Amino acid sequence: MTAVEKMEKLANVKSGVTPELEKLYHDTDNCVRCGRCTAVCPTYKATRKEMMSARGRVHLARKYLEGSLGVSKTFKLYNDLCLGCGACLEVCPPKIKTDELVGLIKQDIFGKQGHSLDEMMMLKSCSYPQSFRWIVKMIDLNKQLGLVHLLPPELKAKANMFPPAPDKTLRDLVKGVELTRGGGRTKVGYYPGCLTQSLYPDVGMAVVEVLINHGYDVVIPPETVCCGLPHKEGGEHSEHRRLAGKNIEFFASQGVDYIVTNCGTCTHALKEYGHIFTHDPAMADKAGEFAAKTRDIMDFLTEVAGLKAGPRSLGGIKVTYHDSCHLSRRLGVVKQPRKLLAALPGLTFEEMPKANWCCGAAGSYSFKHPATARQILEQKMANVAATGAQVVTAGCPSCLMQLDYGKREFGVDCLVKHPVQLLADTFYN
Amino acid sequence: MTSSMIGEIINAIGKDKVLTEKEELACYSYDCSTYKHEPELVVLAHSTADIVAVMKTAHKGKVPVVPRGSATNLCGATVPLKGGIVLDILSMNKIIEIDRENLTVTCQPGVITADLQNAVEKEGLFFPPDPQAMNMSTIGGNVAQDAGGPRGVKYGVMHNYVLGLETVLADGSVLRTGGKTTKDVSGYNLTQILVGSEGALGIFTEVTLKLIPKPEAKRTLVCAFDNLHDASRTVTKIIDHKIVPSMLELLDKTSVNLIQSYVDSGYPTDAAGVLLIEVDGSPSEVDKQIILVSELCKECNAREIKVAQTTEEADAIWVGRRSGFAALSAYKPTVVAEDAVVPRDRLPEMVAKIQEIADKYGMLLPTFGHAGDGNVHPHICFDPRDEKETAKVPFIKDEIYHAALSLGGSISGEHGIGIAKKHLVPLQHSELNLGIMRGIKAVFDPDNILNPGKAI
Repeated sequence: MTAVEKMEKLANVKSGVTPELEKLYHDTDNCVRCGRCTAVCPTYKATRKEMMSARGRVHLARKYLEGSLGVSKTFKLYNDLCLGCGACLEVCPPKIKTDELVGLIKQDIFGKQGHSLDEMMMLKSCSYPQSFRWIVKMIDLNKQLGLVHLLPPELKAKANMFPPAPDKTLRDLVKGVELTRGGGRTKVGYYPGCLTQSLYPDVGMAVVEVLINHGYDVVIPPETVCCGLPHKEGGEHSEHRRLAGKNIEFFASQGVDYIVTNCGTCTHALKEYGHIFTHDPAMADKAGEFAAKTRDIMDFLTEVAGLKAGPRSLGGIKVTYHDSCHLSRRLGVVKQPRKLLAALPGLTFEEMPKANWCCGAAGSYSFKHPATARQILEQKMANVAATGAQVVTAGCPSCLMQLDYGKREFGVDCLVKHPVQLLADTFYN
Repeated sequence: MTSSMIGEIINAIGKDKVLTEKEELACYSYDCSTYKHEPELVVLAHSTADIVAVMKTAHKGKVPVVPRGSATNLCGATVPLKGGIVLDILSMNKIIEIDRENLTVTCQPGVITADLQNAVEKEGLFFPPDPQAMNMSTIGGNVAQDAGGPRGVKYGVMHNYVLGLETVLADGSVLRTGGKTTKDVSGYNLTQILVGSEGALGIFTEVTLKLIPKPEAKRTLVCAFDNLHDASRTVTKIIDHKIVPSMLELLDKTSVNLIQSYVDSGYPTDAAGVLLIEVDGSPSEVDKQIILVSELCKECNAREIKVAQTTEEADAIWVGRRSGFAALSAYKPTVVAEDAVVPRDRLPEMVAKIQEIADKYGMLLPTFGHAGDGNVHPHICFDPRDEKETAKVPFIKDEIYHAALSLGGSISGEHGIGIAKKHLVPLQHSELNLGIMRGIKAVFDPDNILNPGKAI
């Protein structure tokens, strides 16, 4: 028998596979298993297990789509353990979109089995801003009362990931602010996102102040809802569209020229709105217009607003920056935050090693898989510590939360901030 | 494997180091070759003691064991062809000691090759072997495959650097061979027998490697030729002038075009052949050499010579070469990197022969490789869903190696035999040679449980 005869014959997809998945399956024909992804995959680096690399995930996906693997607990788990950070795509020779492939397989499984109680509660709480805020408050109350010590270790770790809940939400804080004192040059709509609303109102206030200082009128529609990304990823497409529709209407009624966010994930989600109303042309047009107006705040400031920093020096602090996956890989916002930080008086910028490696937050990943997320975070915090920076910055509240947890968990002596907070500091007296 | 054997291993080393789910086993069925076979158990070894425990059980039950690092080899060396246990060594990834006075580094087998290189370079030292998967591959895997790379022309390959090994044998006993000395003529050189043994003689648990001082300076040039013959005869011309470049790589037109469309490396896409040359040494030596090399290229009708003026320019040139395999895999679903080596002076004939084979079968055989040491990699790129194309592959492959052997070469320069070339081994080695090899295998592994079905 010659060597080639021992080669496995290629199979094909089983019946009932969606056209999107079938296309991605055929793309994976080109995986030569070179292993380049193993050098950049955060979950593989943390665990050193083949199933935790893109190469392994592609192999599992093929077997699932061919029908030789079914939906088991293990299969579900390894798919769920993909961060979706997209690092593998950057080095993959045939450009196999493993993150997309895994995302669609997860949706396929949800379609067959529905969501677990945890997942369902998470999605429900994201659908309604009040319930999200309520959960945050409850966790905080439990921590204050010391009740978390009574929880099983895994739940306790989850509770500890949350930073202390601030007394006031962004909506409370913004009430006394004159939003139109910017001079009325242009109307900028601000979409704060759930985490900023509830946990990082200071970041939101910094965004507002900075926009006003750049001469813009700021509009914050009173009732924006979740961007819908958790629902999209959970395969809840009609809920995704419902939320998107609400956000689009809220801003349309305000007649804004731009829509900015301070969250890489939200920006990515809002920019995707243009593609989700395929069966509703009227809505699709509005959504397209909405998406085109949407920018990340740092991108907006450096590329549209003509960034100007305030006069106050930051006193010679050393600052580093962590790239959020959505900002850097999906939106290409890489140079802008560095440009912004470099423009601040009294600030020295120090690039950290592997700045664009995922921190392990990845939406709800850190809560669903605390052990793996912790291993990934440990590597990130070591890289933060290596810079000796007093402040680590990131452009996504989910990353801020994870870095803040990492700082406490691994004893790294630094502050965690959004770059816009530092910019705002240069304006204050 | 019986469940009691699995239980015995779990009892000895702990449950968290053992993978048994079918999804997990599936992920240890492959490497960078085209072959697949699932193991019955995967063990993630964290120590020599773990490996000893596994081997004791495997030895008793005559269960096949395949050691595995990053599984980036191209010949099927880590595919568990007969099932059994895949023994993963990735968690044994500590650099134990960099010894600046003896110029050695001692490490565990799971250290990533590039990590080791970076660590020793921080000390002003240099570990030259540079297999092109070095960002992913492990030292243990590289020793087992006797891997090499472009720097082989001047600095040699893995076996030139392995001084000492700790190896767990098939029965679980621990063998120590060699050490930190660069000279050692007591008894047979068991260390060197183990290098390149593809996991069939033992499992490495500690490796001591020779280091050299890091060259102070290096310079890179790219030159283009209108025909491959001129490009390949430039190689011998340079060596004949007593210059041994630190890298001397040849790329044919197809490879250049595929690489350029994958990553812009500044290669001229209309040339029939391109040479990438790096010289290293002291700054003054390097400047002299690069001028002489440019002149020699001109004498051999080079059409265009570009000397990199900055480190960034030089890096870009080498990134292209390192992306070679990747660029081809973006072109066709399956890429089989062949690996023939001939005496350096026969290189022009070998290159011509590959071209003839490509024409005969009507397929592109993008060829690049370490021309400086006579090692070329013609790549068979095909679509396994295309039956006609696939049917040609074994014939092309065999013709390439018949050609290499007829020119006094070998069927593998640096990729190894594994499954891919097992059938070709008797063409290169006499029954006498093979008998000795089988005898060695029988001494190390009488029950044939270590990576069975491969190599010889």
